[in-house]
Amino acid sequence: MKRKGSVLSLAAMSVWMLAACTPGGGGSGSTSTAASANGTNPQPVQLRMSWWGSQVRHDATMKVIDLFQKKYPNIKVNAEYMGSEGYWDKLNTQVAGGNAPDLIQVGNNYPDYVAKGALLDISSYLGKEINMDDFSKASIDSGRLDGKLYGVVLGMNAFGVAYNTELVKKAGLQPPTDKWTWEEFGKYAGDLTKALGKGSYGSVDESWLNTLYLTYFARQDNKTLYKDGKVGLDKAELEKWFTMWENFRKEGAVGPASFSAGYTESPDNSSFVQGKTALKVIWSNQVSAYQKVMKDEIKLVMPPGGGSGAAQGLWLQPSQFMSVSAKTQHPKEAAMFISFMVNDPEATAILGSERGVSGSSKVRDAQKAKATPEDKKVFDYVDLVSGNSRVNDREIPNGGEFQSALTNLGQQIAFGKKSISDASQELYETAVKIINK
Amino acid sequence: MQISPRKLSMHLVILALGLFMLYPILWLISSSFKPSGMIFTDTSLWPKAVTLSNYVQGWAGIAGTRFSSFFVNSFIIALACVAGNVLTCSLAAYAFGRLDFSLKKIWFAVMMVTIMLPHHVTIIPQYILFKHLNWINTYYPLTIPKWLSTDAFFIFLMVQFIRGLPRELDESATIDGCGQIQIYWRIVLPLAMPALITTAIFTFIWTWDDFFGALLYLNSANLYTVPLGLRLFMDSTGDSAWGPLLAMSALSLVPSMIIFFSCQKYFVEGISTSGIKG
Amino acid sequence: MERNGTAVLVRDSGSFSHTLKKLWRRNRVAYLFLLPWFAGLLVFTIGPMMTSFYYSLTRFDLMTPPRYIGLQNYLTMFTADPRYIASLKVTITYVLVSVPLKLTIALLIAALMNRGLRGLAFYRTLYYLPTLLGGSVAIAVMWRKIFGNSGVLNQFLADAFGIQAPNWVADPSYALYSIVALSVWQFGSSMIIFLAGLKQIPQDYYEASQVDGARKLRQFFSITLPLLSPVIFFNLVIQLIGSFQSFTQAFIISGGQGGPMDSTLFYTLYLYMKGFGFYEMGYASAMAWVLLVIIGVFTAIIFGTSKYWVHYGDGGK
Repeated sequence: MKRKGSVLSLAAMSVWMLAACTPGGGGSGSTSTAASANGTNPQPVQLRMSWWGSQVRHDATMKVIDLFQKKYPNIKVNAEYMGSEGYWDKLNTQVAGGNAPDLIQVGNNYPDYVAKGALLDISSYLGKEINMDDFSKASIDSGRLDGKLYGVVLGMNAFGVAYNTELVKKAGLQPPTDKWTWEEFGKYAGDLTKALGKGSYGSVDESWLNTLYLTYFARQDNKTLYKDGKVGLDKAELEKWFTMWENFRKEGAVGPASFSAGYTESPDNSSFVQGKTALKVIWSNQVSAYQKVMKDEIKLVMPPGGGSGAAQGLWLQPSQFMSVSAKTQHPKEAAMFISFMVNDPEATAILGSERGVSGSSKVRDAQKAKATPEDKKVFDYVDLVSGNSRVNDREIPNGGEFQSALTNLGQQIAFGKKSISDASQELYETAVKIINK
Repeated sequence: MQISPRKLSMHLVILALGLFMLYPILWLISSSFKPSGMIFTDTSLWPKAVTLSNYVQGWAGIAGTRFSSFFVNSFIIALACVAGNVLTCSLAAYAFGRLDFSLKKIWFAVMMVTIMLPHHVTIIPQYILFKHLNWINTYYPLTIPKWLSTDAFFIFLMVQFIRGLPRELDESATIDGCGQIQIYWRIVLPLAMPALITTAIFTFIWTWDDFFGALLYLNSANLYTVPLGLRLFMDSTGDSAWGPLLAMSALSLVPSMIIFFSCQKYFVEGISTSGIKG
Repeated sequence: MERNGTAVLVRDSGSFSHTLKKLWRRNRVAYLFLLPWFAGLLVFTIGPMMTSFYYSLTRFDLMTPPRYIGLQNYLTMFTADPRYIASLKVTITYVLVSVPLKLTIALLIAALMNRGLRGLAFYRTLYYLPTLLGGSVAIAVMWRKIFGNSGVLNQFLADAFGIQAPNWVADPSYALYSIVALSVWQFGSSMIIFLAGLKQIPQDYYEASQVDGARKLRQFFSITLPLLSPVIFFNLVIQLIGSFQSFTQAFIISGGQGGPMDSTLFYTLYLYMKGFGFYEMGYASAMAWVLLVIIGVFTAIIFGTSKYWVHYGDGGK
């Protein structure tokens, strides 16, 4: 009886395993591409394309798709767009089910998908279907991994410290400048806290919010979070980071843990948006998102430097990439679409800099000429950073897991539940573990 | 018209509690009329400035898909699910609640176990199954399973209600020569009406709210449901259109409220008594 | 020998077919009623469940084929994953606090709602509204408006009693209870089920007892509660299962992180993080099956005690 049961469940299981392993089928219309090579009477082709975003991005991208379809009437692009919530869950499920879209918008986590064989190497289309002649080498390389091209960058960002101009004015301080050290940052934030009074603090506590800010700090010591398949920093570097923020907490430059842990610091739940803090690290392409939900004007300056002798920590960060699924039936048409999206004058004019500042100098110049004052702030800042930056490092694989550990341990320190030394050790071990996963 | 002081104080207590209940809705409605710069900064319930543009912009939809189309889609799916759940779950519940058959306890336990496994881990195998059925980007994965009573929650619910009904009723019906199907249809279903209505209301509201299922199986915006449509306004990594998002959130509550308000009168009428007398 | 064998076979199959016939006669109606459920179980439920069990014995990163590793996931869970143990503690605390609280409130309000008061339709809808909001996008924002640093609750406490209250959402020792409050506040579904149950109690029982001069409170304990017990039982079991699997509230309030300091890291939230965020679907599946066992044990205990306190109209058959 027992045996029978297990045989039965085994049989059921094997059917399911079989189903799990069968590739492709369904979804994208699998019409042949062969004929399009002749140039005469191309066969109709259907592509699926997915991205996340909000209204501005959806509206603009749909217009670009229409434009593309008019130019190439044989190619139909089926848009599969959504908000950011659940995007990766859906993509993971689709890849697991062998049903990924042909064109996929990915972020800097794309190496995770490369490691699992989900993305196509599109190097062979570069210089043919994909034109990146006007792109800087750095921006092209941002989509490269081990010499292969897995995505075309859709925009460049840089983070900076945003400050609330009204609060700074209210505190009677001069606005911060682009040249400041961590020490000066701490003092400035402390002064703000004193001037602003009870319940308000100079800066957001950034110690656990973003892996990249920690990376930036380490780069100033010529270290980085992830390098050549290993952890690129040691426990001491993590201790240095956490100690600095612990001191900021003691000096009152940032709020106590019981204040900071109450905010996720996204625009809908941000002490900065609510005017309870005056300084916060944001990305250049988020300026309008924050400005939209705030009354007070915000401005962006470069984050604190490491002082004399320190290395340059800043870099230009690719915002998103357009990649091609490893299982696509129509790689060539997908490549054509990507090229159209990042080069066509009309298309790039429609898309604007919402996904970040274009890596192509030609597109950038055209967009700058028509920029609104708001957009101009962003262009100027990215220009400033591009003159004060160094090539970026690859992001740590399984970055989501590292971020989760950073948040947890950073909060443990802030609440005094773990010593800086113990938490740094644990975080370091986590980094080793997830890299070797 | 006289109201006794006791009744009046009861009204007052219920109302005071109700205000606390009402706070979030009031906040939602008031925020949906605020200009976007004030939604997160102006904390008062009474907006300092009022604008209709959130509703206008939200209703116009996104990238050529009007928001009304999300409403229509949600309605189609929700109604299909309500019908499926009420019919097939009540069939199974009748068997578990009233009939005697071999392996009953084991099957009942199996049914309970299907409620207990967290659904996150069956998502991938289910997706693969639906892909092989060629059901991706259709409403089938969201509706057909309800017609095969996969929502065991409702079976269990109705079993409990059916078991609560006095058995003398169907015993006398058997004497009158009714078969099981007639007993199910003529006696048990009308008596279990509160449970059926509850099933209908819950199915409607839960289907109406379902984000994850719709997210996984629907790809084309013209098939999207209201929760998917709402999320189209939201990008946590960038720019979110909070005004239209809140305005459409407020609007999306209306159908559920109407369904609830119009169905709940069946609780008031106390069908059980009239059933017994008839 | 062969002949004998056939004879045995024939005789056997004779009694076998006889038993089958008997079984068929006894069961056909019930199984006919169960047909849609069986079909759904077979097609949509069993397969994915068995597959997830298989995944639990593998290392599965979602995108490359799973690799069999035996019981390692189960071992890791209990020996080398402090966050798992933390999530288990959070969840059990949550279940023990929120289930009794929510059910008591839902039952009391339902009983209140079941009386002949004017405007009940309106009140019922009013009390159901929070549940309607469900897991909507707006609720996280709204919840902080109530429990946040300068939230409505703290302002009220400060103005009315001069109490300097903590930041409920941000404080690791209170954050879980703000989620308990959220779940209790959404008691509408349980209330509706209680109401439906109350409506099913024949009025004659009350009328008969009123003649006896029984007091209202005694009526509640001697008539309402026993007759409502199948429904109370249902709500208890379902709330228990639901609370163990609680996900949405913690997800939206902590932005999917389970913070501060993992104080709201619910079991299924961690499971989801593992499965979809950290690409460890094998581990997540193992977690799911352990949870199934935990819930199963609790449910079995409740089912075991049910014969002492649940009174069915069918006499408990």
